[in-house]
Amino acid sequence: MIRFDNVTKTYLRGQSPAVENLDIEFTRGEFVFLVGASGSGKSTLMRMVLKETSPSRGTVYVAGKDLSRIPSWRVPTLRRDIGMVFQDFRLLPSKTAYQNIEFALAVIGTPRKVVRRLVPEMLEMVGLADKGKRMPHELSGGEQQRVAIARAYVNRPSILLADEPTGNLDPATAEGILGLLTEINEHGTTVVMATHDRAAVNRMRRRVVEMVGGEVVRDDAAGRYETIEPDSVISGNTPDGEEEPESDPVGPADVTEEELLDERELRPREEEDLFAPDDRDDEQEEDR
Amino acid sequence: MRARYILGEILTGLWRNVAMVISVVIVTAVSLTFVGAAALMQKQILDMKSTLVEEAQVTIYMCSPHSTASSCAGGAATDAQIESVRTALEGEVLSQYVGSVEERDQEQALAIYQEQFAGEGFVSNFTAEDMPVSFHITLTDAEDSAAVVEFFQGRDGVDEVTDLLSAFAPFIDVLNQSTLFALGLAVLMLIAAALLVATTIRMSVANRRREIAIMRLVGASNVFIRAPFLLEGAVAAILGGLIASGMLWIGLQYIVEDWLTPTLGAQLISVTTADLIWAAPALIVVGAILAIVSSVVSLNRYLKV
Repeated sequence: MIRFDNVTKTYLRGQSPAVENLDIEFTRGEFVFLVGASGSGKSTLMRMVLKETSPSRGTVYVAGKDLSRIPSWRVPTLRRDIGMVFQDFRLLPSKTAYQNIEFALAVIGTPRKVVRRLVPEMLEMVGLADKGKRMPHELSGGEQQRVAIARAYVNRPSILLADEPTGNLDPATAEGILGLLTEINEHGTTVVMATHDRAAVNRMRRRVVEMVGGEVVRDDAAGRYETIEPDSVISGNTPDGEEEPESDPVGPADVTEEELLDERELRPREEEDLFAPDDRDDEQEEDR
Repeated sequence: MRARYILGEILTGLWRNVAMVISVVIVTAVSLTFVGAAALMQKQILDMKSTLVEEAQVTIYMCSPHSTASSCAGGAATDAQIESVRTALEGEVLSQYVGSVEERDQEQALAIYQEQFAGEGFVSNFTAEDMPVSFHITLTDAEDSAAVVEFFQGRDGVDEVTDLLSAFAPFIDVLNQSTLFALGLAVLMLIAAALLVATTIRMSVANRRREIAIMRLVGASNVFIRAPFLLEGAVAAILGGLIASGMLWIGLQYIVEDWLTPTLGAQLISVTTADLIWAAPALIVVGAILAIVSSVVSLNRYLKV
């Protein structure tokens, strides 16, 4: 389904690569956790799958196609088959939950009739059938993420990428979101989820890929969040310059409901640029 | 669905940036007015030249009893003097320049004179004897008029040699200079309009950043993402073109038709409000093309897919 063939990605010449010599394959219908500290290359990996950015070396295959051979005008077609969910939800604040899902269909030219059938179906699936008319700020963090997942899945993509989808949610809510992703996975969609959610990874016992400094250091078929491997950063065996090693057994710190509502404003800098209209770094990269 | 969606996007886009859109409309309108004025002036010049070329370009008036020129000291031109002009025009030296010659005798001159001043009391005081014989010459090449004028000027029995083109040269010069001036202003304003459109698009893109990010994410096509911006610019420019046409109509109606044409004669001033039939659509098209081109350029800068 997704295959990285010796892929290296360097954003700026001379800097250390974001992803180095990546050789990995995610097969159809798989559920994969990507773990690793911030800056270890998880987001870069996802961006390459979406052809948001191109590898400096190596080849990325999605659904059997070499992405470097897809002309830019075919990229939208590629993206229609990939759903994407973010830590900060990225709902349109001026549209209701229903309209947010509708938007994803309308902008790719789905007929009105189909939209009227699909949107309620999706709301039903994510358990928000009665909240379609709510604005995003009237929904809790978990509910907003459900709307975001509905929007990503409404086109029935064969791949769903989730970049720390539970990063802003309390453990109980996160569990619900994970259940939803599992359900989607059971319908045959390949799910790749970057996460710091130790509890979730340990509970699910799915494939775990750990990245450190742009390289895959661990790939376990039914892994746990931390291992005794000496290279593993999150196990606390290697010093990590970016963030504190997580020693809190509960996972992310408790977040109150009020704080969740404001999370939309708190965008981590890495994600901030992900879909900005002008990706300066990228331009230079691609011009080379 | 698509059409209605895009239409909605254009309307909300226009409304969100209403101040910028108004300034785009005004700047485009003013610049297109200058473009239109320049085009109409050039049309006037071309018309005038072709009218002058069609008609006699050089006219030789022989002396009449009333002539005061020094070459007419002998009174009205004699038959021999008239004959010498006639042969000179047919002669080897001049025949290469001369396309055709029409000779107007005294009777004909009187008829034209009476027609021109019909109703005036003094007309009846004149007889054919008072009128000059004249030669109306059409040149093969209007540019050679100076040579012909030179040849006859000051000859015995020749009162006056007029060159229509040189008579109208100052007028044509004024029109040409005004055209340059109007085009210069138009270019400046058009640059301002193009930059304004670019700025408006940039703001609009910034306003819709989230929507655009989601559209790209879910795989909306490039055209679909860009169309609202392009059409937004085009709508503003088309409004500008319509306003420019309106201003030109006012100018043509009140300045040209109500003042210039009666003053200078309908024969000379050929431009009328009817010319807007071709000028207005041309202006609107120019405006739309300008807006679309500058939109495409700025979209390529600010909206990468």
